[in-house]
Amino acid sequence: MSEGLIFDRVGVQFGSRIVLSDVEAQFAPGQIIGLVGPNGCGKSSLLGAVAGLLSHRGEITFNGRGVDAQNLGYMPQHSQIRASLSVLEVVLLGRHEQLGWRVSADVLEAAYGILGSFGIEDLASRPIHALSGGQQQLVLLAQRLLRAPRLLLLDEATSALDLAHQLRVFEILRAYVERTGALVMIAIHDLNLAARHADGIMLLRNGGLAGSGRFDDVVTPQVLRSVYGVEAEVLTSCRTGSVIVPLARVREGSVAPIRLSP
Amino acid sequence: MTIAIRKVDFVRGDYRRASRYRQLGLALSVLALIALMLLDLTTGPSGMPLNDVLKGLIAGPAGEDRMTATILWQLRMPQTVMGLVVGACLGLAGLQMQTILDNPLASPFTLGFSAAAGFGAALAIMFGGALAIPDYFVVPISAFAMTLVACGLVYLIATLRGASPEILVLGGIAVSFFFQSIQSLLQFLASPEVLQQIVFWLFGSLLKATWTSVSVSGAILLFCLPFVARNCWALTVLKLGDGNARSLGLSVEKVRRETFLLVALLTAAAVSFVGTIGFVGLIAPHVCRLIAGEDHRFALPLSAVIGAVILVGASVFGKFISPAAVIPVGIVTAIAGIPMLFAVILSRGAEGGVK
Repeated sequence: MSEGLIFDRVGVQFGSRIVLSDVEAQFAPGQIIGLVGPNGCGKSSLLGAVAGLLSHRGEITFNGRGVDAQNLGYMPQHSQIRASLSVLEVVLLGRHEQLGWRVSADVLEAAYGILGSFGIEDLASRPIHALSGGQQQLVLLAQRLLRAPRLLLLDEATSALDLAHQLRVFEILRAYVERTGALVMIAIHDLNLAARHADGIMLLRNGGLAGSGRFDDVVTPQVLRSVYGVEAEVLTSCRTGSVIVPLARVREGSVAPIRLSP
Repeated sequence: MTIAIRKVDFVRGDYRRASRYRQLGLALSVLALIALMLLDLTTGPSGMPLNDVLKGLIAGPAGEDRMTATILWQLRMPQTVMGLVVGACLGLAGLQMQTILDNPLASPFTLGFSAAAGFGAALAIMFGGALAIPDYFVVPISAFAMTLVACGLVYLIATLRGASPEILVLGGIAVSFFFQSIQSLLQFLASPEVLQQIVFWLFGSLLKATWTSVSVSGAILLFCLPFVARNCWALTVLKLGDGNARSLGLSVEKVRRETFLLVALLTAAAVSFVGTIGFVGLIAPHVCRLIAGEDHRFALPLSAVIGAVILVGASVFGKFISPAAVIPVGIVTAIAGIPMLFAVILSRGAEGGVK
């Protein structure tokens, strides 16, 4: 099958430092995939490679072809924006390749519509630099959605959001995936959020893939211990039926005491 | 429900309203520029009331009143139009520089262009006499060529090490110091008369303008405009930071290098004939951001117009305070620029530029 996103022996290295090697996985379109793993394990590098911004070995194909910038929405990890642009102007830039001297009413309508679905339409004429980090993240996500991508790559897009907005973002992504059949891959640290909202999971450990597939197949207490070095349970909520991961503690002996010099 | 819909309509009208507000700002700036240019034509050592200026303009360069026609068309008009061209070049170059370097302190001279032009001019003033070409050709050509050499050096550094703002600024500082120091060496070696000429060139004055210089600088400006316009959305995207711009499919380094070449051309066009004129390229973009924000569709034309307004205004002012010995416009912009810069800094409230 050539539908969806396929990683074929993908590797990324910076100089002589190998970040990822031999990543093999495939995901059908129309899903949300959670990309999880400890800090520095190569999540961002993998997304950068898919987006075509990092050179890589092996092959990454989407629907049988190389990933095409026109079909792609990629949101890198957040850094504060200082521009004096209004929120609406920032969202419009999602379509910068197609914009002419006059912004068409259709694009304007689409931009307002997306801001409305995020519940931040009232921010439209506020300057982007005056917003909080979380609000900026929402605006940038709205901008990527305006591109109507078939493949949406989000690097910790929910890291600065409050609980309600995290849920809202996943509901919007779910609706988007169901309406368009797009594939969303989101790098995320919160395992409970991933368990609840992702259809599939891709777990990275230092240097490569630790597993991919359904959450409860991939994430087990043994895997959590070996990948993250934490003791945790993986339970099924008896009320909602979803998987939850209550974290217990860092594995014994893995934290050295802080020594303060006398 | 109706209330909710009205609220949404109100918000949706905002973008169009802001666009109209910006167009209005642009139109008003153009009117102010025309008014200042007329005022500039009326001022000069021999005076000339507005009425006569208008008559002379309508009569054209071959008008019957020979004296008016000569003063207006041969003496004052080149200076006024040169003010427009140089101001527009510096305004455009300044805004593009601040955008690609992501730095509000950047100006067309940040990357050593003025130092290079100054060196080129000094070189020509000292040794140009040996050539069989008249001075008024050699000096601008040499200044122009040296500006492009400086541009080539920084470009080379940017190609070898990546066109990030840091690399460009560091390369520019190195080039700037290099040209400044060899220009100082020339000044040190020069005879008092030559030294005086060099210093006078460095002041930057519209008195040096002729129709030839206006045509050359104007042609370079017109040549650059389509390229500047083509990148206006790309420059706006660049304001989101390199990471975001790259992820939106923008070839960040390419845009930066192209813009950098345009800035070099525009700066060379501006300074080669009239000498270095500071502050216009620094302040025009700030004033323009206060009026039009950073959507470069509006900001670029507005910055050009405001640059021209500042320069023509400075020319009028220089002639007003001492009609006999016109103060070089470069000195006026430098002195007047400081309070303007303070005004801009203080008016940047907690929320900054956008209206």
